[in-house]
Amino acid sequence: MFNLEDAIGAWRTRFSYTRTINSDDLDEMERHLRDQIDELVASGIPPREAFLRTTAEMGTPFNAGSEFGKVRWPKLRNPSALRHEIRAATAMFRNNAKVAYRSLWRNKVPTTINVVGLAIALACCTAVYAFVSTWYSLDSFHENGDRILLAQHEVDRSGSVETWGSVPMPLGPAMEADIPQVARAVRVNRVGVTIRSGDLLFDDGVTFVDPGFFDVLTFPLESGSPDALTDPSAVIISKAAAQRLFGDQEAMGKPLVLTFENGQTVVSVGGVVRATPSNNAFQFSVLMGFDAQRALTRIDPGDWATLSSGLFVLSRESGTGPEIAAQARRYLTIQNAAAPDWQIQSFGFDTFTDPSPNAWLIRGRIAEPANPILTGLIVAIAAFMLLLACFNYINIALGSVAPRLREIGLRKVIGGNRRQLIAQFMTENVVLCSIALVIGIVLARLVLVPLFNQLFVIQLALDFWSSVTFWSYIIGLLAFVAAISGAYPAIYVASFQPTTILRGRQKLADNAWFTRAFLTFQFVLAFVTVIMGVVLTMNSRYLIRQDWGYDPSQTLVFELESTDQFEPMRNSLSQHPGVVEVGGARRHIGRSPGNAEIKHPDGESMPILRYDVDPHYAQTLGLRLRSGRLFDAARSEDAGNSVVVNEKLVQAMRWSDPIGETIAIDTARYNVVGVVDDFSFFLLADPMPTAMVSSAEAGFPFLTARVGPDASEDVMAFAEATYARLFPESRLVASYRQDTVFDATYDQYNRVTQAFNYIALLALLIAAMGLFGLASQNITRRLKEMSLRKIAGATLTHLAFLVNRRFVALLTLAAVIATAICVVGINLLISAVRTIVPVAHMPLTPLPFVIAYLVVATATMLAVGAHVHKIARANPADVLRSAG
Amino acid sequence: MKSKRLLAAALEPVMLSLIAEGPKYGYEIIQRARKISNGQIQWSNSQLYPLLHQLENDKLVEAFWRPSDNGPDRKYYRLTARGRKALSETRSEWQIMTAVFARLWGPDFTLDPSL
Repeated sequence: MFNLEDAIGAWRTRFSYTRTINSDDLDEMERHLRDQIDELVASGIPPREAFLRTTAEMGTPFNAGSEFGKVRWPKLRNPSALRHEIRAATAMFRNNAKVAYRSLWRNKVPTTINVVGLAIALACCTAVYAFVSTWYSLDSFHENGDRILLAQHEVDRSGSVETWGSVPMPLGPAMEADIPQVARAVRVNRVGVTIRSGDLLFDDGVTFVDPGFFDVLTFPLESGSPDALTDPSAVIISKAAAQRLFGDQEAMGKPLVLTFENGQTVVSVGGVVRATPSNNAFQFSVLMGFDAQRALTRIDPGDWATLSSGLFVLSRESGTGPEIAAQARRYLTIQNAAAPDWQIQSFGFDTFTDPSPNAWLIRGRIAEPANPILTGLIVAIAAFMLLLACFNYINIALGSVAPRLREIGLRKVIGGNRRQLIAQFMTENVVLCSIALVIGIVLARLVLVPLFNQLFVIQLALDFWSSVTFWSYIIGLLAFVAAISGAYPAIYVASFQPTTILRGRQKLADNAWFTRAFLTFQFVLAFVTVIMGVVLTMNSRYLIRQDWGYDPSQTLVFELESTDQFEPMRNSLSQHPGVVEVGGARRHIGRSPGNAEIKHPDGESMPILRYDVDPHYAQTLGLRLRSGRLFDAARSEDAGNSVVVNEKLVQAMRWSDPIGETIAIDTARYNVVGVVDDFSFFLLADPMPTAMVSSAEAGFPFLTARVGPDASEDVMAFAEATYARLFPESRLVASYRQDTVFDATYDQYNRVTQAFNYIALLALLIAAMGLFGLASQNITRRLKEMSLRKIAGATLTHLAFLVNRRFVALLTLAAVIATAICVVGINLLISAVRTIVPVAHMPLTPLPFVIAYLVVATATMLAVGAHVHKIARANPADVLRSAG
Repeated sequence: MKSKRLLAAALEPVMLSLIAEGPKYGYEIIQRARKISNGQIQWSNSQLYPLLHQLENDKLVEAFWRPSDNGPDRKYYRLTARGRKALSETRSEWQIMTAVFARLWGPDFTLDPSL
């Protein structure tokens, strides 16, 4: 017998299990049900029929539940079910993490390789983050923000329009007076100077600025007052300069001796600027009032033909740069009239804190902006490293799957589904990536960022704890790497059929052609960088061994503060028993060249180097005489008349017998009395034509002394003591051994070489890891075959050859491509560099290539050797038994 | 009506209009819709209640329980201030459309015989 109330109760119970429908909804639905049934019954339909029809229309609990769920899922989700799900998920993750840890620990070698590879790539990405974030927030700390404009101008130079960061001296004050949108204009002019404090001496620059400097730019003072800029005898120095000059001592009020090209002045420190943020591109060490430069540098701040290094303009409102530029056109007439050979076409005013993307093209911009090419290159290198590492990870992961096939098969048989298996492999991948990330950050912090800072002016800061952006970047990076490297192996493995696995029929994918192409590419890269590294290293050795054209050993050089100190110093030094000879020069070989022009036989003028020297200089330095004679103090006609030239000049003038020829420099005529061997200035491959003019006049700031064997230190100490005794008010500008003059250049060169060697090492490491991964895939796939061959009597050498045959072909191809690239590239590089600075280089021989091949081959052997060892150790019986 | 898309598009404005006549419960809404459309609009329960709840989530309608003469309480829905505003907006839009069709399909409207 049908009971409507029972039926409705049962219907309600069925729906009550649906968690998206709450009791309130059920009440409503039940009331609906009753209304509809009542109506149907009233129209003569039996109650049972009416109930069935109505409930059918209501739908199943599942369908109704999902409809309700679409609307109210978040609100109605059962809290206890949620708790249960979270608990299940954490338990699963814990379990997966444990299995992951065990499997990573069991496969130590591939794990280490993966961690190292990913760590290197992630370190690069972290360092690049620091680099890019610093470069693209340059100067953003100034409080006046986008109201600060930086002036620039366009000038037509023989047809091509160039943009310069400098402006005519009087532009700033004129704009401040004439243009209503301009609130302040602050000129900046940089002048080279030697700074002395006590015994410390630095070559640096003074930045002359208008007094409004600190109103426009945000450089808080640690001590002192901005008023120091109005005092011609005071300077404000940067924190870095204060530390360099005074260490931890108080800098305020300390005297500094500034030596300009035209004179000397003593100033006192009137302020110290607090340490500037790392993203400060406007670098300065000494600030001085703009008006002070008139007396010190003979620069006329009112001359429209003279350019000052830069101009900051504070506008009244932001975004008025174009308006101000239009207003500034009124000064073009006066500037063009004053400077006929520097016709400015227009002025521009770019936002200082947010420069236009083309700011890096401006010549002589006072704050170096971000260089998009360099940034792009660095980002590309990091992205590329990351892709390589991910790719190698995939290869190694696929290679290490074989021993775990049974694990996968069993998991599937006992009910593990695809999702769980993928989760398992992804967990392994995430654990590994996280370890790599931690190592990568440490690596970036300790190695890469210091390396960057060594190569670039702008200092990077890796801000660890405070930066939200940094951490979101890191987490995003982790997710990206995990997805890229882990997804494919996980999905691939999860798709295996348990029956195939357990019957031992699972075929592992063969290396696809692109895998091999990619590996070849990695090896080309490794070869190229290793070859370049070897070439650069060998070249640096070659440079050091090069003949300088004279004997730099046992020669001391003293740079005097004033030229009238030469005579007394020479007289004292000549008394010392260790001194063989003393010479003087206005310009010094290896240190500062003098320039002159002479008339070429073709009638054109030819640039040469000119050194005005005293009669003893050539002998003191040990220049090698080819023909004729050197200067002689006994011959009075030498002074001001005679000249000694180098071989290069003789060739350039096409003289067959140079002795007795004359050369003309400006209006003077000189008789050639001798020819010496070419000597190197810096590391020039081609020595410049050089004339050494005998000078009777005194006025030599360079004093050179040739000393006897083992007397160097003795004479150095004696000379310094003598100088201090004779001129207690002065300090020696510099004193050094002549054979150290190129040390700074060597250092610079070696730094580049070193950086290149690091890159080569990384490329080699990554390529070797790629090979390792591929070889491990190859071998696991062929382990059964190898075992059969072993039983049949194949030797280990033969087996190793069989396994690695395809890699040998691949490596050879890479070597050929790389060699071609390098031969072409090095020759291009040499001819490109020659036009800028003719650095000496050794002839290109096959030797560096052979060395590079050997290095790469060794790395390859190590990578593959691990697998060959595996074959050697494997017992064929075990392999065949388990392979079934 | 055959066109499901047109029906779906009209669902919300029609329902808001029905509730705007005065507080109604779910079954009543279905009945009234059927009657006023001469049986052209036939909503199923599985369409009605989720939409009502959606409107409630969006704060266009609010629900309240009211005792009934026969049987248990009924859940009634009425418009909120926001619902009234939404209805007047959608109403003016639909009025524009009906006016357009009225003009378009006026007495002179014929299908081009050449098509």
